[in-house]
Amino acid sequence: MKQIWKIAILSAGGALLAVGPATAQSKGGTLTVGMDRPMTGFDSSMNPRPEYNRRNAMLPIYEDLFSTGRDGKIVPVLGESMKASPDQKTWTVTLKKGIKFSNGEPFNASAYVAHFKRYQSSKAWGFLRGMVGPIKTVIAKGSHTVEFQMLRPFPAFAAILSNPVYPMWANAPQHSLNVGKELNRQPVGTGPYMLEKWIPGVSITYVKNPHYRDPSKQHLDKIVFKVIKGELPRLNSVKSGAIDVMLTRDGKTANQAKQDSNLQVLTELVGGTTTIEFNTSRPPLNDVRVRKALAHAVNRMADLKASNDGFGRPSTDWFGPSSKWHCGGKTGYPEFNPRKAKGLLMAYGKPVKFKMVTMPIKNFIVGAKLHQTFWKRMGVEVELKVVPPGPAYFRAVRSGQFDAWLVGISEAVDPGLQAQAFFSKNRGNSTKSNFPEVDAALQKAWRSFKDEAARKAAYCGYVSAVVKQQPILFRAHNNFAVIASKKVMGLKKSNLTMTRLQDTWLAK
Amino acid sequence: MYIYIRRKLIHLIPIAFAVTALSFFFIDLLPGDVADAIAGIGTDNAVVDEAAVQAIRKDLGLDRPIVVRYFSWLGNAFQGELGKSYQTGQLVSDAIGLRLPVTFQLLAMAQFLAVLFAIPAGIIGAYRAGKVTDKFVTTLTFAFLAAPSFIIAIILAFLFAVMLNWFPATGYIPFSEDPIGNLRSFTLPALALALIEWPILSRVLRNDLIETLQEDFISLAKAKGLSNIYILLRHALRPSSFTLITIVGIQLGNLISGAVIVESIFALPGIGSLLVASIHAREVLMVQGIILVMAVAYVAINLAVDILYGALDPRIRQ
Repeated sequence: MKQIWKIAILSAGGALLAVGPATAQSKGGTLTVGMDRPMTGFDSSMNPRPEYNRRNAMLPIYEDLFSTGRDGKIVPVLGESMKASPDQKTWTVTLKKGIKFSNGEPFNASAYVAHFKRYQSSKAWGFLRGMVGPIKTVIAKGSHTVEFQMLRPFPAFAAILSNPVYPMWANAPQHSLNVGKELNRQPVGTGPYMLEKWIPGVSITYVKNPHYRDPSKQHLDKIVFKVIKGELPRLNSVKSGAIDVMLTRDGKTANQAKQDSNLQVLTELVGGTTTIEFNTSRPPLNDVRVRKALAHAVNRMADLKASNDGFGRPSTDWFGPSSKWHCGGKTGYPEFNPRKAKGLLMAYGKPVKFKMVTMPIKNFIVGAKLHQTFWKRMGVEVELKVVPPGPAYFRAVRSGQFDAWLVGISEAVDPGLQAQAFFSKNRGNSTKSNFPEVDAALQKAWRSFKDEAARKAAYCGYVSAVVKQQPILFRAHNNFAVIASKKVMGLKKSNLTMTRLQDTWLAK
Repeated sequence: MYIYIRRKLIHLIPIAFAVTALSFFFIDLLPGDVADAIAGIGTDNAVVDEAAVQAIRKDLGLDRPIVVRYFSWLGNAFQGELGKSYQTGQLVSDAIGLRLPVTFQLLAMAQFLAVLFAIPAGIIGAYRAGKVTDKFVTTLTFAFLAAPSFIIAIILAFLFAVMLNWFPATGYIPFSEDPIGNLRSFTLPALALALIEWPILSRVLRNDLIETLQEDFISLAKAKGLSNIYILLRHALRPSSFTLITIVGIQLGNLISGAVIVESIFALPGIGSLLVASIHAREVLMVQGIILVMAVAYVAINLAVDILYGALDPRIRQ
């Protein structure tokens, strides 16, 4: 009798396993996502902002040329293959055939070239180039072959082609011509979903793209992005079932969600770091001893705990710990050592007083006040000013009125696209860094490399050179979390704070 | 009455002119503008490309002197053209048209609930003046008066949406799509506003009722043997409600500021949340359009209150 029960249980288990994937990937339903900020538009030549809500909301209708698999290998998406010239100044991409935009237009080389020509002639190109690299021109070399010609050797382009980098997302060319500026409101991509309705500041509704090449991957009927400002209202919305998913950088929200057994929380330790930058061109912060003292004076674990509920990790470089470029904590970043800080300040021998600016957002204002307190213990006087986030803040930073400011270094797909502003001749050199050692280290990292390990060593050398001069204090690599109700299936951790919500489905 | 209404409408012109001019100039004083945002400034590591910013500013007409821009906007507004959002391209009139009904419904429901709570509380307080019941109501009103709307909103959302799941925590469903769903989505936001509104109304009504209850005609009614409830509702309430109505009118203006916060917490796509978002984004034309609508609404509400006075007290009409 026991044997019969065993067989019955095993058979039932086997049957469940067999039908598991089929029932799991159920069809239909609407996935509702809470956005913290409203969409400003789909056309990056008019609205280039890389803010994560916008990028995530664009993801269901666009596609990358390639993606990167878990094993680090490049996976074809719209592209079939990529090849770099020996000097890494020319990159050739072969596109897949038979792909259509959601309005039926064919996706081919001329479509992709038209997309880049639009961007290159736009006023946002100066900004977008920072994300796609030094592209000189893009040429169609055949019906499905595109050639990217660079201004200089650019090994980072492989990473740009194989990661979600939104300026690479193409719109249908004829449609773009037809609608002109309205493309900002009427995007047409190749992704599994297409825009049905956008009510600015309220919601974005996507429906299935009828021309998508693989309908079996379109699990959801609709994806709706709703603007719900504030962390708590969004978390309450997920908890109560008003929405299915929210994305956040806020530690307190993510930690609260982790305590709720009805929710799933997927965390990405992102690259980039929160920082405090110094104007190194005038006293007292033109003296490296003062800058070093300020670094030694701060307990960064306390900063992380206070400013983001411990959600992240103190940083020693700007490459995230999960990035292959991470320098493994070997950049010589100063440890918390108040005695050393006092010694350096004594050696400087003059009173230290300066002005710092921050934004009224929790992570920044708490961090600024905490640094002010730590520095006060060393006898350093800091006058703190709060300026609203956005353009006003960056204008204030660049106005020259302040000696220090809180800022973030964004995550990037490649070190060649990150934190180049400590180079003395860089237009964005707001710290007024002018250190030959730093310049030399960066120029070394710009050379063409065949060996990735050598390239990594060169970039870590650059970070170490920067740390030695300390025009910047590293605070923390903050986490990014996807919080969802348990009915959302197939959810994966974000990559570069982008989450492929279009691949999910809802449990019946 | 016609002359009276006409006079009020004529007053609207300088009011609208003053508020729109002031808001236009104040927004211009804020550092940074929409051209910065369009050029990507305001993001980490963004390089300020001044040439690009200036070109965008010129394209949008933001390089013209502020007085020229204001009168250009005013001229267009007189012709019914309120302009477009610089970033999204949405027509200002469309954005306001979509959101105005939401705020209107929120304020109407909030005011209805506030009056619904205030009248019984005011009557009980007046009838039992100085007694334990009155003291209890008074304590309750002061407790709600002291609580900010966002705290009440968060507590309501936590209790009734997260814990009990009776109402949605956020979201808006148009009445035309689902009337019940619509009322459910408005219940908590309206309640959050009503709970800070009713104490004032209740206190005013209580005090006026206490005074009215001292009047000779009330003594006469009592002498006639009429029941207390009948006297309170039939004889005392109406003459005691003038201040209440005035406050309801005035408070509607204040409720709009409360609505800004409550709309955000409950993700209601109303005019308040649009105003805040537009100020942050330096969407001057959107802000101007909203302020103009608010000014007109405020004058219209006060006009309606005045007309209601006339209906309640024929002496005013004369």
